[in-house]
Amino acid sequence: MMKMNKTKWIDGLINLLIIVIATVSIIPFLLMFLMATQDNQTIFAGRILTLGHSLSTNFKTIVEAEYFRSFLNSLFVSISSTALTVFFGAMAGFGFAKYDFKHKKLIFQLVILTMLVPMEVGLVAFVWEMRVLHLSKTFLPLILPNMANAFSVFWMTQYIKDAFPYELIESGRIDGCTDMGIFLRMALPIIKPAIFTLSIISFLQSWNNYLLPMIMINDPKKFTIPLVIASIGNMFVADYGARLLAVAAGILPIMIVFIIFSKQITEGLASGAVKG
Amino acid sequence: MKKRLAMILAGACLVSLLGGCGGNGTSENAGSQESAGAQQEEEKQPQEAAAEETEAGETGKDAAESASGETDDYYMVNGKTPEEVTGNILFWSWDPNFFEMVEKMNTIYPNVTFDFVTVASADDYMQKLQAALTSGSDVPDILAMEINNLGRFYDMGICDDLETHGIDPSLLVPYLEEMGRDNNGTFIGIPNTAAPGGLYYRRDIAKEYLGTDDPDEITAMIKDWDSFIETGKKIKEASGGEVSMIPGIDTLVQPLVNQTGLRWRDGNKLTVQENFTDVIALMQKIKDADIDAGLDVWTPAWNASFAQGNVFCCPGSCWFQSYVIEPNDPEGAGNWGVAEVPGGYYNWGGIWWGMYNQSENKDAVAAWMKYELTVEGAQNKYDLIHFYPGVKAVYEDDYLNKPNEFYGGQNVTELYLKEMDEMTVLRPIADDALFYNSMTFFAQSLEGTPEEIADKIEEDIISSNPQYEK
Repeated sequence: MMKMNKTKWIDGLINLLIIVIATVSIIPFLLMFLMATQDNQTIFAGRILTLGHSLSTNFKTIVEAEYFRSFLNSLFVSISSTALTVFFGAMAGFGFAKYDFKHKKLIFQLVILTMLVPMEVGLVAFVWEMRVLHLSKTFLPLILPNMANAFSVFWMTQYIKDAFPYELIESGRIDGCTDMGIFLRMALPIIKPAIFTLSIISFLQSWNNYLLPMIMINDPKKFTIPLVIASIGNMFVADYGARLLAVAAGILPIMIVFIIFSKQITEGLASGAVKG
Repeated sequence: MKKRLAMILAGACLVSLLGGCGGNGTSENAGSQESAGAQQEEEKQPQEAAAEETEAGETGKDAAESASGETDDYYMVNGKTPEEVTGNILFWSWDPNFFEMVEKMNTIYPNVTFDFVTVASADDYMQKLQAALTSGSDVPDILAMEINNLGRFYDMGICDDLETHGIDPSLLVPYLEEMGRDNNGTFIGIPNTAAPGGLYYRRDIAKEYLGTDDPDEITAMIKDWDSFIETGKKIKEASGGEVSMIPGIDTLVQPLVNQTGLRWRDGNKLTVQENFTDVIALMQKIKDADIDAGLDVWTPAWNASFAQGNVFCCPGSCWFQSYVIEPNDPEGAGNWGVAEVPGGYYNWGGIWWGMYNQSENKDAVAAWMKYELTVEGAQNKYDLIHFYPGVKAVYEDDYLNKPNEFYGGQNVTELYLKEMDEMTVLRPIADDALFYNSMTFFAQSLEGTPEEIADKIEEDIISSNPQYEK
């Protein structure tokens, strides 16, 4: 009886702790949605826990700033870039994990080494390269760099090494499947959890990218969400209400995607942790 | 399912790659003109008291007046009539108001078009511009040279000589013209606005605690920093500690530094110890008097103080009206006044417009600049967002020289004009932003003796740019 009571107490405490942590995590989101309905004066006055009256004004502001066009741009760039990251990362990872070739270790280390070089270092050269290739007026400068994403190669290599047994490749070959066939038909379905996890990471990275679009994009019609959010208000006084509405509207689709695929994403993260 | 996933991935690849085929990047602008040794500039005299008179210059007035609508000689650009001037100007700006302002030139030059790009801030602008210059990508035809970066533009060598395009510098207020010339004296920029300072105060608080809201009486009360401190103490005491004199000590950095007319470096040698120990000591004195609200400049709380009535006044510049006070205190029209800041007149802020020397649209840019310097161009600017034009002739005009309703009927133009005649001018130099940022940061705490703080500021500047030395 005593033991039961003690366990109940511990459970209650853990639950309380979880509730506190969850509340602390949720409050900024709640405040963001509340502040999206307010104007600067209400926000500055500290009345941030009340619903404001400026939702329609803020909405008008973000519509005038072409927010919804930038939303579609961000969606296009992020989805394309995520697909490329995952596809090429998985292909390279499959190669590194399951094939033996000359200087494999060295090449793999070289790929990993590129993670040490911040993207900013090569920025000017990249801008020049895009101009020479006549790509600077397209979305491609925001999409292409992810094809050679070292993290995705590393992530996929580690995952495939453990999750995809060599015997499956052999059985595929015996049944007459080509190497590409084995990758597409056998490897990809098995590494689904890793794909989901990598997708969410690279999608977020692309969705929140500010520096590259700021440098590369000259056509306001091609602006992505972070560029539009940063330019709402004047140089000295940001329009916080409108900016937060834009942020809230930008977060919603990510939240929806996360809710839909939460099982696969958490599964991917957990299995990566166990098998890594 | 397997098939579908593979198809989706492959399809997305294909679509995104095809998207690029529509591109036709054709910019062939030459690469950076920024010389490697740009920092080793030959700087002009560190301080110049611009005591030259801002008389309504005859030349300026005549030219501007003659340019009031008809196609006459003034509007000719390199032998072309306004209708013959064509071009598509690439214009980047951190303030969309400028797009509207620039487009007004179409009333005179109908065949000039624009590509506008919003950049979030002046810092982002510089970063984007440098990437464009070094990579040879699209560089804007009109260069926006914000005062913190103006010193860098003097050295970069990317601006065209505007006088060769018929832009007349004598139309400008003398100190603004002087700042629009690079270190070799070449005229590279027309000012977007004059930026004389002022002490912006709330009339309701003035009446309640000082017994008057008259700008002259307020100015007399705070004729020097000692009386400024005493007035601050009086307000704080009378309000039971509720109302502070100023929002924060770091707000004083721009006015105090500019009032000295002294530079933070001489070549590569830092002169903060030498030139600004007194300024730091004064800031400490004001801080010790406990008359500030402890709000760091440009923070949301600082912005909020304009509407909350917990701060009496803030030293600023003429552009504060549209960029700071009105957005923060939308109900405040009529409740604000402008007094003189103790310690002398100064310039705070400003943008100069330059012409990229590799631009393919020089005629169009020159046409726009000509338009900007007319009475009509200047008035558009004022009507749009209360920029006080850099064209001296327009200060005689009624639209500008009249009581300002926002300031309770005070004719602030008179004060600004007087300041423009008498102010101490601090000519910008490269890396000014480093100094101001560091000075502002240390002004927020002010711990240590003035000498120690000056030393820390120098250390901080060196850590950001090791080419400087103590």
